[in-house]
Amino acid sequence: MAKDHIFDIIKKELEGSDLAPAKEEIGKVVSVGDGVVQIEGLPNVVFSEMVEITRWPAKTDDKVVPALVLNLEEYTIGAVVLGEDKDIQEGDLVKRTKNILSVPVGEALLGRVVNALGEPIDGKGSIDATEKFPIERPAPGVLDRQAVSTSLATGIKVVDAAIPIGRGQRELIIGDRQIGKTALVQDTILNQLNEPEETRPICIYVAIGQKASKVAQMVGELESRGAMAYTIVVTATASDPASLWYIAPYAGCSMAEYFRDKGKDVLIIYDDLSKHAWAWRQIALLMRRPPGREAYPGDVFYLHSRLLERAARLSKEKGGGSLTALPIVETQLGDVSSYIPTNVISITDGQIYLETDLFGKGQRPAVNIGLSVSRVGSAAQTKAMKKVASQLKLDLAQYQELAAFVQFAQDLDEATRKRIDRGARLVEILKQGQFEVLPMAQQVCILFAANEGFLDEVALEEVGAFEKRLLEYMRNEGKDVLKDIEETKDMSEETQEKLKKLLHGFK
Amino acid sequence: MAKKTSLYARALVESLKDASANEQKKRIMRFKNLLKKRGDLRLLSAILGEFSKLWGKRDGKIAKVISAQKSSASFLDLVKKTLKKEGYVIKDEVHEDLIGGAAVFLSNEYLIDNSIKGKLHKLRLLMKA
Repeated sequence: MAKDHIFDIIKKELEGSDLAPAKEEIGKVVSVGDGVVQIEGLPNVVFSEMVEITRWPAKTDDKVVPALVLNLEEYTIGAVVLGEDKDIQEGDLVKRTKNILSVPVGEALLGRVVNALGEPIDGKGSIDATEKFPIERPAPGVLDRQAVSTSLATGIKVVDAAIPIGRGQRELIIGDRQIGKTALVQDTILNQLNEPEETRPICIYVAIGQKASKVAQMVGELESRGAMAYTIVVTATASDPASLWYIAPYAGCSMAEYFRDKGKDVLIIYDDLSKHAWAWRQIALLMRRPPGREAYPGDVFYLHSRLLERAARLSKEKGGGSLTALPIVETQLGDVSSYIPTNVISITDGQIYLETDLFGKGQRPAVNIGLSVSRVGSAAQTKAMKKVASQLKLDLAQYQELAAFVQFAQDLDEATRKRIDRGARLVEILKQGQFEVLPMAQQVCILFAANEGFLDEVALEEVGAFEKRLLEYMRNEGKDVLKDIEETKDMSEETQEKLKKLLHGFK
Repeated sequence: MAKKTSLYARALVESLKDASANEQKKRIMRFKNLLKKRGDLRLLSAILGEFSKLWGKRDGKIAKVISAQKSSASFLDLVKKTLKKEGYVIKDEVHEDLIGGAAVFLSNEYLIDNSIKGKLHKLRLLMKA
């Protein structure tokens, strides 16, 4: 009876599966090593096709190892192993799948942690995704796009005010190691909790070559704060083969495109593209492709440009969805002029530059406003933020010019001294700890207060505490003002007056 | 380059075709020395790749029929007749690991696997997916 039951289950599971013998195209492994296999045979195989390497006849514990065809040569085929190459032997059978490397996409992936092949690694069971997208897809054409015009709030004052990011933009985050690049993007994901559910972007975090412990910590943090509900984490950790590092961002991008094409807003973070370039360099060298500058292959620019070109704001006819990309690039000793940083800077629509010196001085996030830029600029800023940001940027620029001069000057006139004092307070107000993201309306209020000189009489070391108290006061007493700014995304004369009154009351 | 490789491979096939096993060994050594002398030793692996293809096709393409038990003459006749139309010459082998059924390798380019072992493997993969 129990036996019949098991047979019934198996029968049901295998319904529709074809077990009839078929003519399969095969090849043979000629050599294997360092994650690369050379294959003989398979004359009809195509570029970027998945092949399966197996032993024949297979034993029960023999694994089927997938590989990705990247080199089509006269007598042999070069493929990178998407798994462990220790499971492959010379002479193993290679079967064509006739499929371009694809990953599962869809709503079922939300809240999940997957590897670069879209397989779950979070122990929450299999993913019930019905659709698959190839990892390499063409970027939307010129006519399929529209200009970036909606802001993507990061919740970080310095970014939202001085380097605004728009939905559909590509903004590079660049800086040395251990400087807060990942913290900045993590906060950006968390800040989406402040967005109304209907306009909340879906977030995809792609970890390339990161420590598994760091990814686990991040997932834990996102989960505990309820941000995993709208997030997918694609991970190729440091212990995974370079081939998985290489495909991870493309896989993540395809998952993001599913939502973008459905008219939704998506935010994708590539952490980081320097490691991605290393992986591609390793694969290319093992494939015996000619090395170029810094031993990177000739197509390393195209490697990133084709990936980042897929970020776009689609036209209304195409559903109006958007894909915002925040690639991260790690520099060595602040050198932004090396190969990969310059490449990615030229591809993206701006960069947020994090500086070691500022980090050392206790500036968090350590954003260098002078070197950071957003080419989409204020087109992607709410009117309310635009009103306070223009004055802020001007004051900061004047302060930076004077700050260098003040170190040598003994006597300063009153106007200069005031400007320096104001600037120092603005720098102080832009400091923000991790996990302390602020909704747009609250940011506008605090920056408005700084612009109007309400901070001028506060001692520099008291600015942080003053901000906290002010925000608390606004949340209690200024609910109407906050609500008005949040709803209209603007700050009318009337609201400004109300806000001024409240600030006077607070003082 | 491809033309050169193919010419060498064809020459090697022609020279080895009617030679005895002992003579073949000597000729292969002489062939290697010839390549060295002409500075074409780096082509050796490509030449051997091309050679093995041509050598296999000497008597026609080879179809290897592998079964779990010795195949009956009638079965082999049937397979032979079918594959002859496609230009294949049959070689049969017994591989007990297959448990039952048979598999056919068509000149190392195609596999038709109808063995029990192959079916069990397919089932395992389907259940895993």
